[in-house]
Amino acid sequence: MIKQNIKIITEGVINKMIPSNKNFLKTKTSTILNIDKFVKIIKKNPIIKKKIVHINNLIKKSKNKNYQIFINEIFKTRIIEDDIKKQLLEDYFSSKKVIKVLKIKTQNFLKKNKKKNINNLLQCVKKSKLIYKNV
Amino acid sequence: MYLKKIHIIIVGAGASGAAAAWNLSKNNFKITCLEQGPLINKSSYSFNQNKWEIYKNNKFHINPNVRRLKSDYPIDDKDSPISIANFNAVGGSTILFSGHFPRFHPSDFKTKTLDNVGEDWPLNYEDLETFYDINDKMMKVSGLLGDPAYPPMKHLYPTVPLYPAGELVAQGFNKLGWHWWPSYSALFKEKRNQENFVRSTADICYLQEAIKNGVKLKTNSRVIKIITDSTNRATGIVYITNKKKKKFLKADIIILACSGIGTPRILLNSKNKRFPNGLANGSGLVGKNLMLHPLGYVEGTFSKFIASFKGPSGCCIASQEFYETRKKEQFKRGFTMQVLRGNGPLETVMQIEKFGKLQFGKNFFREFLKNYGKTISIAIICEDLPERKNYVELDYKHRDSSGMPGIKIHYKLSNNSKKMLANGISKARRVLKTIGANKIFSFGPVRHTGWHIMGTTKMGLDKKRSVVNQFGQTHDIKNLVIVDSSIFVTSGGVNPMSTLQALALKITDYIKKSPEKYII
Repeated sequence: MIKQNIKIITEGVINKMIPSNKNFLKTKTSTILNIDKFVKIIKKNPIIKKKIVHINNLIKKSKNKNYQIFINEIFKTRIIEDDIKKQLLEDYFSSKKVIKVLKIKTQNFLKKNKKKNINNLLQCVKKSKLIYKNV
Repeated sequence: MYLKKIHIIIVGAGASGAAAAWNLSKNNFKITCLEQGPLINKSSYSFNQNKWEIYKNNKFHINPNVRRLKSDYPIDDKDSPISIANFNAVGGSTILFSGHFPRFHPSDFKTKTLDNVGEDWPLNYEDLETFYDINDKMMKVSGLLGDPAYPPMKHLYPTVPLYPAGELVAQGFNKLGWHWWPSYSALFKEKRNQENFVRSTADICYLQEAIKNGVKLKTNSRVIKIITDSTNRATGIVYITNKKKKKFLKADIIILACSGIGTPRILLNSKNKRFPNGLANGSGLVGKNLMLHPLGYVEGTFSKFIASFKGPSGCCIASQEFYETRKKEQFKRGFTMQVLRGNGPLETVMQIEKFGKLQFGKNFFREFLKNYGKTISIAIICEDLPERKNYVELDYKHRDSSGMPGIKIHYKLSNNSKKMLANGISKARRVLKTIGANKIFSFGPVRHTGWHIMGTTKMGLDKKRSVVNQFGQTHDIKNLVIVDSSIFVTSGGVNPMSTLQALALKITDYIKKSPEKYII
């Protein structure tokens, strides 16, 4: 039960930290990452573990099991941010989906911008007086 | 028949060691090359893969004190504003280098004559020219012929495209009437239609061929000492294997190719009764005259997306407008402005975090998109002049995995370097302003940039004022040769890789032609 709850909360917090964005990537962040890796990191932090056990108890008592309240609380208090942010950024920006989005953005830009002729650009240099010192 | 018996040991399988091994392997020598690091699978250090930005921060970190691999040795750099950057494995620092591959200028070999600073080399550009050409071919150097800053070159592979960032900065240089030229780059494409370039590393370009020719490569083998006899000749080396076994290997000629800190480290650690101050240290200059190329960094951010990361990072364009001494400036010699492309996505976001501007949540992408693909940087590579007060010594407090002492560096920027650095930074700011950067920040010297380690066993004709002669032989021990950047007399204002490999080829050419001069 705890494990499942931690996973749900981790997914939720990650999606809050890096939300889907209509101008960037619409996919939920949690779906492109290996969440188990983050669960492992979170479990290592004794303060967070204690907090999650506490939240887990609250969830057990709660009738509607609204995880969102706890996700918001964890996100706002930033108690897991420092533990996971490096891994999160690394995994997110090296994920295939994000790389693909960035690649498309680049290709679109390059298509619109015509490549300049290098020899034309170098005309000024070729006409300049600078020459190596022959010693 | 006589030649077949000659056993040459090369210590170090990096840029210079690999070039030396290849050149000698074409003759009938028995050659053993020892490398303290491992042989790394090529695919794991491809800088084109998505994970590269992550690897750069851990197992391929440029700082050995951060990386702390078994093959690394401790470097105490507290007494220096610049920390050492290197990589200890087969291929050496070429595994991590940017590939920017300019040659020294003819004037770099004659700074004393021209500007009354540093010292003249006992050889000149023309002496090295043939070997620069061979090296360019072997390392598959790309570039464009016709650069007025250099004597004519013979052959270069097709130049790396400028892409939008390069084109933009080139226009800036043009507006100011300053020299620029596409980067000379040790990069190539394995297949014609391949999108990304591959770095030309020494293990692939030189060692593979050398091994085919019979060179024996011993990896994970750390040389700790050179042994000498009563006639002041080196008889062999002591090395530690991966399994921590101490072994002796006999040799007729020993070639050191361990970089500007690795080479003096072995020489100083090899002290004995006949050489109480370390081997080949009759002049007292082993470890002295350390030169590091102080580097300035200027970054401009633009309002529009320009895909500035497109292309190999360090290989874009470079300006050598201010390379030579100018009368109106208050410093001697000069610098290169090397244009760097923008950061990849992870480095962009990490930099935002470093400046405390990273916000998770709704605004996460705002800062990222403000920077990604919109920054261009210029590195100022300043010529560093040789000074005895800058030196390396053994550090007995910190030892490597085999128990060998680490190295401690003592380095301060000279007034000349400080003035040059400030001047270079202001010039680079002007370039970025000219092309419309709306935010510019700069600083220098940049700490983690001590890649170019030179001068610690300097070359010269006078044995009281130098460690090796123009043939790479140490003055004190004729069959002990040094071929790496530690023999540089001055540092030039460009990356030294091309010159150190050309030197290694030249010195080993002497050995090929007249081995008896090294043995007798």
